[in-house]
Amino acid sequence: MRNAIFLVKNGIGFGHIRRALLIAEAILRAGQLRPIVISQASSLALYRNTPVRVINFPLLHRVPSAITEDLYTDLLNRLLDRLDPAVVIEDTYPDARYRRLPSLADRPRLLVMRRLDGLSFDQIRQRGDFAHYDQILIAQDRDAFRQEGHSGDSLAAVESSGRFTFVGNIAHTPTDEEVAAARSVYAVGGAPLVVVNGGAGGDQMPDGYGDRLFTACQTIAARLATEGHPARFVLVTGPYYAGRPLHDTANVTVRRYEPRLPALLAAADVAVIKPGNNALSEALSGTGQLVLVPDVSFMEGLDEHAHRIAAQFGGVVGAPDRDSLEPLIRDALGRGPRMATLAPSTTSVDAVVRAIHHHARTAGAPEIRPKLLLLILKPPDSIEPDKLRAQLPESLQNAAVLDRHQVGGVVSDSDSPSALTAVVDVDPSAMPPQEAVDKGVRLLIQTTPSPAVERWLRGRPPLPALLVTSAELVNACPGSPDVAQRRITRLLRSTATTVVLLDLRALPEPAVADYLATLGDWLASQPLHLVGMNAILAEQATRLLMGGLR
Amino acid sequence: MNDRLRADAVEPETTTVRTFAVRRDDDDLNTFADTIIELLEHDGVLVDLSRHDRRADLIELRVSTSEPRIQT
Repeated sequence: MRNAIFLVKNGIGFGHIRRALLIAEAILRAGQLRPIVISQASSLALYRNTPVRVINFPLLHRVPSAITEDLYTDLLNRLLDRLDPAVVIEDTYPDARYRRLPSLADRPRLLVMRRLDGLSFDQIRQRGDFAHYDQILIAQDRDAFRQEGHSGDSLAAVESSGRFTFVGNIAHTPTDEEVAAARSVYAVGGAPLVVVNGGAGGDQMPDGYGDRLFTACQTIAARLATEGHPARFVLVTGPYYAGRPLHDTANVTVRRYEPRLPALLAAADVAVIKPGNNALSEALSGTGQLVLVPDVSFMEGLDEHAHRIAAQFGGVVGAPDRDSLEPLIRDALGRGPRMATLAPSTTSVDAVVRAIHHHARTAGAPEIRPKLLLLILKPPDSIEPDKLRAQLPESLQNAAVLDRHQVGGVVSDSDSPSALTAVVDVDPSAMPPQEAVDKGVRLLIQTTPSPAVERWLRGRPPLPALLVTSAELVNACPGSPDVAQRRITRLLRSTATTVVLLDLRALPEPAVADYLATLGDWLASQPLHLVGMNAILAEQATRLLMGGLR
Repeated sequence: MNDRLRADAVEPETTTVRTFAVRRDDDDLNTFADTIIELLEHDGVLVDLSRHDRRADLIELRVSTSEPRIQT
């Protein structure tokens, strides 16, 4: 059985490894591939009960000897070479160390990516780090992704490159039985349950976040106890917690690690959490009131995210100190259950498993892509676009026909389910860019560079960005389709993809059918594919992943 | 060893299979890698390479032993 290798590292948290294990265990159950998790982590706690094979390295960038760091990297390379993976799966942050390993060159590679803030996503994209993956599986739904404040270029790249797939949130959803069991253990006698968690307990910055959060909550619990309040607190610090010692009291239970944390968070009446992806998903699956305490985050924009979540699902945002948290926790304890919950995604892990299987299967038979041609026909004035489209020979069925009746001249893919269109030689005065995008336009095709169009786009950049490509204008000569043939040949001699606007207006109407039949027969005999607008759009969007600015 | 959290009860128990001396010529990395691959033949094995001495000159190869790891 071939191996599916998960490359994952966790610095201060557990999220990447938890996500990798959820997927790896699903791969194991499917039985087609042997999953192996190769991690960099300081704690092995998450691996106690998984049936998945694991090789754990230290965090390589923290190894105190450069020689040993190199040796570890060499060892990793030799292990991967021996394991001969059918597919490699990484999590969220593209890692240059993995990219440079000779043993991983030309392997099918997938990136499973939980939410990132818009600026961070842009930085990764502009570095070209997404370009190394065959598919990027975003663990969000499309609407949630759009709320992150991504740039127009990033939205265009995600929407149109064909590399990205929205699979929905990936997190463990506890069963009702697990939730009930967690309550019976920690909410003795039906006492209100306050669960406090800051992820795996590590601090992103040396600001004592964990120390301040848990010490504040222990103090608040003590004050409530002296008032006779029945609330019970469970402080799950995480194994990386390095703050002041915490201790059990009459109404406080301290756990360094709690494997039932998802159920515990779902069981809480009040969840006081750092809103990382896993803890937040688990808390949102329950009905407890949320007190979100964002920490300095790495590429997650937790402050903004916490406020968005509080607005969407209900809850409050606080700081990790007693003055901030005490009134928020007291108020939350006085409220009933939160009404808005996060529905569990039952399909997200399945979608990732299908993608892994797909790329593992196709690994052995790559195909060299033929040259691509988008041929846009500009009809003679005497022939309506629909009539010309109806009389196209079989060999030109994929050619586009310019619809001159629409503003700017619109090209659309007849078989495109998304009804996206391109505009040829757009008139900037016709409408603002965002209006064009809202009408479904995604691509501007220009036969000549237009400073006016550039100003139009830069002045009011739309979301997603409108992508621009150039087209070669060819005037059809009566009786001489070889002119167009020679031009197409010349264009595709040096490029893999080209766009040709073939102006048929000089042809007498009776000659059009013969002209197109001759051209179509010739194109069918050439090593190229006639493609629709979406293929060109994908080409342009993929450029946004290559590290260069447009 | 490099991680003071090792002694905490949340960590699975592991035992040393062998060590690898980074600065010694007679320790062969290919043999070391082969040993790890052999360990992976066992279902659900946890191989830990994260322990090393203070200067990271000596790497430990450890496997989990005492935990009843779930089998499928």
